[in-house]
Amino acid sequence: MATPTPTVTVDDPHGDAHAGDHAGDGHAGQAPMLVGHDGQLHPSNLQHFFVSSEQQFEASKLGMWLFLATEILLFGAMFVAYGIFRVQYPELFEAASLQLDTVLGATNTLVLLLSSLTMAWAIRGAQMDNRKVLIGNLVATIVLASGFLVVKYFEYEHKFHEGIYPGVNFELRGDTPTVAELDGVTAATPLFVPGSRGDGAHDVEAVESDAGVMTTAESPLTGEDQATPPGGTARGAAVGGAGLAATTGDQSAAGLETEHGDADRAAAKEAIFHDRRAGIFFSIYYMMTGVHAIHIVIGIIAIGFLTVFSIQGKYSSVWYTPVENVGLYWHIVDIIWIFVFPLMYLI
Amino acid sequence: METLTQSPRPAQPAPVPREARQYPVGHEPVHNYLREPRPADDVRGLARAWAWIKLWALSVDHKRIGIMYLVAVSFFFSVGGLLALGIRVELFTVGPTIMEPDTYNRVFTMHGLVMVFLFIIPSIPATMGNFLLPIMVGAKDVAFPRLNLLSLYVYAAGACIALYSITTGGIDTGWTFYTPYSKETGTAVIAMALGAFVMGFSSILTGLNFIVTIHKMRAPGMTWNRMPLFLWSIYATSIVQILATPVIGITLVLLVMERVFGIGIFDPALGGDPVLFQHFFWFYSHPAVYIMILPGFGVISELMGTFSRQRVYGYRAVALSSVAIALLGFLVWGHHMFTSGQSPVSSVVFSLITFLIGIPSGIKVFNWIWTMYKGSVWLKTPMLYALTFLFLFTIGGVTGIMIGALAVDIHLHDTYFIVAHFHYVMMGGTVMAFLGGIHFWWPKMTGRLYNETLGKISALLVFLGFNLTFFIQFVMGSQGMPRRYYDYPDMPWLEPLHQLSTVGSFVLGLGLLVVLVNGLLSLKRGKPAPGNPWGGATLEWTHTTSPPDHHNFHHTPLVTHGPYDYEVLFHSSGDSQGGAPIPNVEVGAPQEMGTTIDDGTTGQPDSATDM
Repeated sequence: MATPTPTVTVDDPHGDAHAGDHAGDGHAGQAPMLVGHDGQLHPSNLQHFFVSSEQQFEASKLGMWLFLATEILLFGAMFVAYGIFRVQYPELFEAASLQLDTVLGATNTLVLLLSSLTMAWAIRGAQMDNRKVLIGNLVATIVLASGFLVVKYFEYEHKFHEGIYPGVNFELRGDTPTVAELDGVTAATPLFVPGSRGDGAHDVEAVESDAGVMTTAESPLTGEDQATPPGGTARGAAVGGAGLAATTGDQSAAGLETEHGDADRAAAKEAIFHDRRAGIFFSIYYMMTGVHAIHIVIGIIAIGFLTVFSIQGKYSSVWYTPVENVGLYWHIVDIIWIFVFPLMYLI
Repeated sequence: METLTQSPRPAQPAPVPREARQYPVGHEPVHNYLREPRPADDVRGLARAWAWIKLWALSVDHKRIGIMYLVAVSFFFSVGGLLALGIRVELFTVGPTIMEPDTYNRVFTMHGLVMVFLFIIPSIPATMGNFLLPIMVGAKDVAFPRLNLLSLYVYAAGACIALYSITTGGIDTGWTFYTPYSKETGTAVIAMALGAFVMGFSSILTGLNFIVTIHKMRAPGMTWNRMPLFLWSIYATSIVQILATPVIGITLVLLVMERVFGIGIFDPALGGDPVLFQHFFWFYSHPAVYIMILPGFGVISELMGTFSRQRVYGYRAVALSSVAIALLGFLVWGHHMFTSGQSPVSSVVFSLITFLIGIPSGIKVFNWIWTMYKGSVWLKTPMLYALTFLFLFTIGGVTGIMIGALAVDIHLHDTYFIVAHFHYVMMGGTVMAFLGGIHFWWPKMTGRLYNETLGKISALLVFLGFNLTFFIQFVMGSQGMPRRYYDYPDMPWLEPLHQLSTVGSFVLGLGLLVVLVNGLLSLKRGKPAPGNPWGGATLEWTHTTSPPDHHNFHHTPLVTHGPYDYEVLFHSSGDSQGGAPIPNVEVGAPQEMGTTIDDGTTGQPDSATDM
């Protein structure tokens, strides 16, 4: 809390000093509430190029809303990618989404909703000049947001453990072949076979009939499988046949006991892990949740600053613009998650 | 109307700068933003230089930021221009001329990237927009000055990252980064993509700042319909910047992820879709075309009004057509992909909407012409550039309609016809507007007049050089010369045409050099400019000195007339062939007390012609 200043106040009953708010406008280091130059005084929270505090508040808020619009567009592109590939590979996406833990996702949804509540409550605290409510709710928001990240960490960790990486690195764990090793195999199968989509037997047939072609096929995209030792591709071909399905089935069944993984999960895993295109789903999953998690981290940092400043007593009902704006940001981060969760985990 | 002395004097009378006495009486800047704030008088020598650098580099004054942007943007314009000359010299003869094919690919890619991301996108909004927008709305600064300074440094950081990519091998994908090649090529795509990503932030911050400033900080009496058309076009530009730029941001991040982790979203072998990249890319980059040209429209509107001594015809139509172009611009990206295998239905729809864009653009062109009709056209350098713009942009726009037609585009896609088309729009449009605007506002920005003869010579050289360079490329393109090709051994008959084009590019370069020399000469020994050398009626001419004061205005101006009401201001529409009437600049004129302030609800007319 700043020391009460004996100077005359105009519309600031709290006597807070905001020297830092004036960096760069010639008022740095000045403590009193009324500052100014050229013979003009203005409240210390009001930057000199604004006419009134209301104008300043509204300008900040409009700026924040515009920034939120850019956030929506940023995620919008990823939602579009999700929609396109969902339409292109509906069954694949359905099967792949079974790999996501709905319980953890729902927990995180609740955590974020709760944190939105505490954030809104913190703003209310600032408006009511109730510093206890303000600080308490800011801290609660940080705790909840960190909880979200912890849950997210365990989700990621589990996926990496199972070998679910995005795109070309998508692979089973252990001695099972990577998708990269299966490269020639699946590249030889047509992307769309009407009536046979998701039909594993057909794929295996195609693999076996095209095995000769496959061994000589140049991989167009991966560096890794150029480094595959001689025989590696052959192994891939062999495993790519009936053997793969058997081993995968065993391992996934064994490895999923701790999950609420059952037969359908294992079966789904078996089906999708034969399809290298499943990597697309997880690419989008990691991109969306990753970019979202970065936003959560930024939010935590911002709310951390708010907490420090509110402990210093900078915010009051007269001036709480940063609290309001970070609150808006936090809500948009939540809203984005509200859309990510059902699209990724539920449907 | 000598009211200069009404502002409070500084505590200790500052020593009057030597040149200040030369300003015309009544036009002396009091707190010249170029000199104030300045280091204390007792700081001498190197310390003084350092203090000056800090005062500029850390200044949140929108005018200083605008000037710093102008320097940066001009530097990158010359870098891009030199690269272009390299391309033209290489094509001078069939076969290798001065560089290897690989070098050529890097040079034309860097030319495109530097010109698009480092020059054209920030060119008019970040320089003239920053400098003029707060003055034109009657504010002391933009809404978020520190964000404004941040955007400059973000731009600089992005530029450094982009230039770093040259040192790590350069990039040869063309400025479009098309996958899958941008994934396969071994060059510095990652650095360049990240550079463009970072510069996107700068663009977003600038646009955000401008929209908030226009919405919230207009002076009393500055209704929407009294805003100069430059502001309308900057407003439309900012909408596009805010809504389109995030998409290129995430697209470039996906591209980088594709290269680093192989996420496969753009990779057909992993089930991805390379055409999706093109959709994402053009969803930004077509609207970005309007980020580039819309501010140019605004500049031309100002020039047409001021130098024709006539209210811009169809003010509201011109203003709203900017917004219409901004919004329609989001719906036409597919016309870059007619040959990329999109469905015929979407091609037809995209083609149709492309034609629709011609309507608001046509509204503008016809209204500018009508503005000159029966006006007193004053052929100063800025007006010469404006007329050049009108001529070249019309050619560029109409050829755009041609290649927006499906059948024609199949033939002309990726040929020099396309190259000529977008150079007519971008260079003939935006750059001409940029040059015209710089000449127009140069006295305001620097407080110096430039040499009119040199200015006219430069305009002539640029006009001739430009047409010689690019008109011939329409011919080459229609004969089948593909763009981005290093050589044309199968088409030896094109060699003389290429040679003409190369000669033209050097004439063009010479013209731009004259502009530069003229500017430097004017800084060194130009005559001090009066507050309103052209007789403009917008706030930056009528209410500020040249150069403006640190806080722009001594008192918040009260706007009582439209932006082009020359009759009101000068009491005559004026035959200005012999020189424009130069009004007294009333620095610090007190607000008319007792006047009802028009907040847009009192029904006062927006312009004198409505009375």
